[in-house]
Amino acid sequence: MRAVDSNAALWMFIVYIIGVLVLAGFANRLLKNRSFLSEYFLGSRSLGVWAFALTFAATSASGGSFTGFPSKIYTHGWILALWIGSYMVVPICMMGLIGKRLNQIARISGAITVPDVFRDRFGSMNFGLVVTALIVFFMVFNLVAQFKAGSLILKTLFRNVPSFQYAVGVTAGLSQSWDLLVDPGYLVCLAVFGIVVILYTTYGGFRAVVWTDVLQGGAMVVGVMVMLPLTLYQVGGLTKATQQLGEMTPPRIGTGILTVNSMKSEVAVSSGQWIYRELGRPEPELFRVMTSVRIQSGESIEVPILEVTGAEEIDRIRDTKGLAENREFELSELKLESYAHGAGQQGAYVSGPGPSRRSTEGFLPLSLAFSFFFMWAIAGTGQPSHYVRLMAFRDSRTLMRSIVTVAFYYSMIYFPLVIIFCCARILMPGMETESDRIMPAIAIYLTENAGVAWLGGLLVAAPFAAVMSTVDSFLLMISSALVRDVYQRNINPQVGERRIRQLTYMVTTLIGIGAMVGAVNPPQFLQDIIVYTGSGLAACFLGPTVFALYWPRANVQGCMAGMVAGFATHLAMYGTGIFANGSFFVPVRIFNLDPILVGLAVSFTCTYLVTRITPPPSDDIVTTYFCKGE
Amino acid sequence: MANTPPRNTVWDPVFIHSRREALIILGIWIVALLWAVPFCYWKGYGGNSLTPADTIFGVPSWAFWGIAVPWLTANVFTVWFCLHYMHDDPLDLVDEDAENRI
Repeated sequence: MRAVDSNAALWMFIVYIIGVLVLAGFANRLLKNRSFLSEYFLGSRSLGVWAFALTFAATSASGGSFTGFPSKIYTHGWILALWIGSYMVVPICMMGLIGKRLNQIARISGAITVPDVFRDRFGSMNFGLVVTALIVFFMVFNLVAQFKAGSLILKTLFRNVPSFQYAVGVTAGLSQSWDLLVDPGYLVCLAVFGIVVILYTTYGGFRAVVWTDVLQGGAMVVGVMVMLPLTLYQVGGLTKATQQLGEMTPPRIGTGILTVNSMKSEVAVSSGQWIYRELGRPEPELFRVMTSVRIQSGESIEVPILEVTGAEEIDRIRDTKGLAENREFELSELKLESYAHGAGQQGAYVSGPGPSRRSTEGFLPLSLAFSFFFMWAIAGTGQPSHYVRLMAFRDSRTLMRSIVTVAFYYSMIYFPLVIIFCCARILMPGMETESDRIMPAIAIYLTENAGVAWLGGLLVAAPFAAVMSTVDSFLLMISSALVRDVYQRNINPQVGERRIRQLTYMVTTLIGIGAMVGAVNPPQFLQDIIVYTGSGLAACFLGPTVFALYWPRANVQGCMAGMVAGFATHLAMYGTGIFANGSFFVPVRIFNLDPILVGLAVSFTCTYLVTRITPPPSDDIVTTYFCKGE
Repeated sequence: MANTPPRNTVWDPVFIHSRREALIILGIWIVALLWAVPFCYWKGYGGNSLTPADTIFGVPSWAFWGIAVPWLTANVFTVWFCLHYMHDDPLDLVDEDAENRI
């Protein structure tokens, strides 16, 4: 990316951040005339269609939608259309299955937070505390992971910005004097990301989060809608792209010894350097160096290497890039591994189960295809961060129209993303080992080729916006759990509004700073933590929520037992992974089933059985939440 | 208490409507699952090289009929269900006292 274009990206980012902070300022003004807690944590239950639809969509489309998902499409091809296929019914499931009843029960009880709902629905202070503990446990881990994700995206965006490089230089000096062993570029981005998110979330509360979600949701859909035609135009049409994809075979990946033949004393080899050779060989060969190195003349260095396979693909890349026989570098002692599934198989990228480096069954065997269809739509319904939004819409009509809006919104995002990043394999070949970077890389590539490089900043802002909209929601959920559910409802019920206001600002800021500090030395398994916390929350919450909303017989014993059982089962399957598979994040799978499926099954069964063998709830509770007078 | 409401009360229509709507939505999820996954497995697994006849508007035919078409159908259903079938139930006004109750 040229410096001038990088500055365009920086300016776009600055304008965007100013917009976010202005929205937070407006939101803060609304806090002055309304009940503080209800407005700060729930927007006074007054969200209209656009605000509700876009905050829901933006929160659920976390950073993964714009980093992990494109990377998977690039790596495994068209099979990701099936992997994400259940998004055709995700909006109606996640919002329609529990939305209306949850909103009604929250209104009847006056619940402002998720723990409020369970505490009031069952009249049990202890249940409220269990829910609070589970939310804080899962959200804290997830928050740290999301802070890391946001910082990494920002680092990609600013990579070539001169002022950013200057800041990195200063930070590098400081971290050396403080003996910090952290990438200074990452630290700068973490500070920028953390300060912005903490500032607007703390100052504006839920309303600011919702309004910024609308802005962020808009940035995401505009980003995709701009990229789609640019991609199709530059690739020469989807039919041609899919045919070329059908001819591709997976690369071989490993290491090789790189030697320089040049007369220069030192040669810099940049990441992505192509090495083409055909002289004296039965078939042309094409390699890509996957790291940047400096090599002294005559010196040999081991480097990560990717070998493009398939004669048509090699010819196409050679012609497109204008590659000639390489004479400057010598590659020897190649140790390259073929994919475990799909190696040498044409059509692997346009059919199931998709190529896979590690699994001999391919990327998406049938059992996993069923699991993901279940996970996105049904398990996604059990996320407390969605519950908060479902408690905040204005009326039933708003819910009905919002489901339709989100359905079209997701249609405009997810299927087009599959098309864009399948085409990215053709436009930017050989990026398998750094596919996490494919989203910003293709955004910059497309806009530069189209002569609108300034648009790259907006496109790269889309994944950043997605992470921001998730982080701010989690921040508020933890803060509300501590201020409302622990302090106000259990420690100091007589606390005045002024004190609550001060405490809320202070706790939200402290949690944000805590997550930022936690992310300085970030967890290694970013995506794994996000999967663990997301599936764990669903295993705990979905069963008890469904029973609490739709079964008058449900009681506190049954629902609390179901929640704890779901948590324990899910945790046990991950925990035993340490002994069975050597890692917490490689859980044990009973009957080859994902922990979330087992956790949900145990939670639902436990809730039902314990409810059946314990006394029914009082008539008062049933009348309050399920009945009307005759 | 299980199947009948307490004396002098009837089931709240919002509860009844919501439960019925949830069951229909669950049914739609099952239909989508049974359309998309088996169809894609039947037509899309195997890894053969594509011919022009195997794509529709550039989309592999298994993904077109197994994902794109049901996705479109799901959207049509969503519009009908949300705008014509779901009840516009009045949700109770917030009890301000309850909201401030500790």
